[in-house]
Amino acid sequence: MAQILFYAMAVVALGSAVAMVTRKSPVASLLYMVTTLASLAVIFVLFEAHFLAAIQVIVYAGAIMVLFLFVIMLLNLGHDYRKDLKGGLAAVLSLGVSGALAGLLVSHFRASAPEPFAGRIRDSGILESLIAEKGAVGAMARPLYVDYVVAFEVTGILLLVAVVGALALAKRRV
Amino acid sequence: MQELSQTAFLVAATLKVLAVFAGVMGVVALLTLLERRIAAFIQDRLGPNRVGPFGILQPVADGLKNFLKEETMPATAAQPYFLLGPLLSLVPALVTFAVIPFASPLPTPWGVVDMIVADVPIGILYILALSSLAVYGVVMGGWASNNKYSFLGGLRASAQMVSYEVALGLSVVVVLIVAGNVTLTEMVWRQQQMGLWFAFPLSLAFILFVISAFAETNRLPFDMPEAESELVGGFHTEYSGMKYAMYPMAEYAHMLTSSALMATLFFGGWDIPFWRGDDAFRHEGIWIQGFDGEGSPVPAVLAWWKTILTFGSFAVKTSFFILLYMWVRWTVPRFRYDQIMQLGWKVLLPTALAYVMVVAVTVLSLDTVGVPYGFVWGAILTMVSALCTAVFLWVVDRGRILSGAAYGLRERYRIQARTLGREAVTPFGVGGSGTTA
Amino acid sequence: MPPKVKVVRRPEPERTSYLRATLKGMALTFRHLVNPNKVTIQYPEERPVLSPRWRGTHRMEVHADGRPKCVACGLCPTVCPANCIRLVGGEDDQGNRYPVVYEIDEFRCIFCGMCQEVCPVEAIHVGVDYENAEYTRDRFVYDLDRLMEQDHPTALLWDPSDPRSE
Repeated sequence: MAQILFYAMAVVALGSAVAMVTRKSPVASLLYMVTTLASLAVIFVLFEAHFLAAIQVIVYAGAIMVLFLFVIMLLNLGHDYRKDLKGGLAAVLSLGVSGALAGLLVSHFRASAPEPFAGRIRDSGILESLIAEKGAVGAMARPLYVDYVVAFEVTGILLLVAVVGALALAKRRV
Repeated sequence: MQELSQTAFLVAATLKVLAVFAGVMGVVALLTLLERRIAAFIQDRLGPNRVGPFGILQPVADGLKNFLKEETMPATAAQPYFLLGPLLSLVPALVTFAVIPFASPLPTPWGVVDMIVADVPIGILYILALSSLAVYGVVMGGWASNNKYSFLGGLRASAQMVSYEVALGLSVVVVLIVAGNVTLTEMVWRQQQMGLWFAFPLSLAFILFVISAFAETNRLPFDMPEAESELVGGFHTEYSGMKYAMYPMAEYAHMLTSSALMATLFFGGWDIPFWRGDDAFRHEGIWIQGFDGEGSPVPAVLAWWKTILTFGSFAVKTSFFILLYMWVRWTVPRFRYDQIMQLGWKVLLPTALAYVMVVAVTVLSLDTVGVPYGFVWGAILTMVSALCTAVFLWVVDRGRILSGAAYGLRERYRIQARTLGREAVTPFGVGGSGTTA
Repeated sequence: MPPKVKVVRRPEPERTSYLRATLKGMALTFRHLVNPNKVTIQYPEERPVLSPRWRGTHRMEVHADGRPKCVACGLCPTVCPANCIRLVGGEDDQGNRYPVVYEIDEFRCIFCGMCQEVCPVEAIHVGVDYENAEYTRDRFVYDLDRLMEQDHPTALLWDPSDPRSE
């Protein structure tokens, strides 16, 4: 049952991703991207990563994509798409680069053994006990806020810098 | 009390899904009638009372009318998005009810069935995720109609919903700090353990949640997206027939879910107050009622009549909040769009953040001092929260946020008077400008 | 000459409490909610109380022997602002005038009551009646027989205590 659902969702995710990059209308692209994200969330649930699935939908599909939608609608983009399509040389180059990257990814995953860190976590049963004690979210909170809190705070400061930078760029000269 | 077998679980789950879905749809239909009746009663008239006894069959008549109406499709509308809008609005609204526990667990001969359609580990995050998705329906409806007024309505709706999701999430975070887990069953359990409903120790979070929920569901006073008197119908102007009917159905379903959430998060859900007999929680596989003096679990006594009583308690609390929604709708006028945005970002967000910090500090100090989780713990938190609520209401309630053009009027008159060299004649009285030329 | 200035004192926005105002409003709506006196009239069990001067569809008065009181003088079609009365007069063998054709098109009528005011023999009246729905449009042209058959009360255009009435 889970297998069938996984394959179905994988097909939906891949299909909508392909549809997203081939649409003419940007709103259609956006909606196909939301479909991709939603099917990815279902795949996360199949892997029992419920929290990640919820966060994916809340943050990515629910907030970031809505802001994209705002921009597209307000600026009425997507009517002169023909200017964005480059010629044949650009198509060949881009296909070549993406094919090389894909090949690199596949060979890397095929060659290396499963990550030792993840294997240690999985085998020692820490995850099960953490989840039983604190719930799925609590188990995720411990490494984030206790073990790697410095990295977390630095990421927050980075986001703050990005927000301030965006404000500075967008501020009108009064 | 044994666990359910695989087939028994599937059967129970199917029955629960059918019952909850039918229940939600039925309640949504009745809510349309209730809204009209309450609106009428507040306006000193009777509502629809002809169709059945007390107008009960009015929703049937309305549904039939919507099925039989001509479905318009504007020629210049973007067709697939036009059809997609109501779907994207209705489906998340209906599915959100799946994680809300509505009664105490029911003992059956095949095992104990807990009265929640899907007890997922993420609990309330599921609801937040689906309310984020509901924005798409409104925006799509507005944009696809190819109509200036609809587009404005849709845009305003999405901006408003996104802004208030932040405040909503933060007020929920406060509840999560105290409850310790995201699942709603755990929240009900912790309220039962504390002996206090979370509305008292977390009163400011309750107020913020209520305001944000009003804005999320696009109900007056945050009615700008529909704005019946300004934007014709707002984002659903061009819709008719069943496509239109899905939008109010989605709105009432959202209202129902928000009311159920308010009841669960802040008022104990299906808990009956002052009675320990209905407490129940699955703790390490067995159903317990609480912990006795030494900390060992006391097993729960589950019964079918307790299930019915607790469902009644849940229904009463949810109905109270639905009535609150309707009562406020017919009392206050609509906010302006800039007032809504100011309120969401400049008032609710900083308040929620500050409150999260205050509550976190209080909880940490209480736990460090060693106060056990119980009534005393809750009482101390209640006092801290009462202080915060009083400060919030005193500071924010002054006219600065909502006065609009009247803000700073006295100052402007004074400046004008000083410029013209005479006394300022203001609606607040004749004021001296200090020095006259 | 400087215009007269009237200063209206209003509460200052910086010191008003919107919560208090909202709660007062909610108390008001709650009082209306539980108020048992509603203004709705439950038609058709209850009927609205109409004034005796209410002008509705017409009625032709008859003599005791069933002849219409109308003498086909032609005043009402002349005075009617909407031209809704069609009158063809004739004489019977005794020399009395009577209406051969008398039709009122209720669709055109504006229910002003001037036909009743001007009638010298108090034959045509406007009546206190509003329940005259029909299934087809041509049923709204009332001919003489129909006008004589109506039995609803007629409008009281003159106050009986007014000495100039009658």
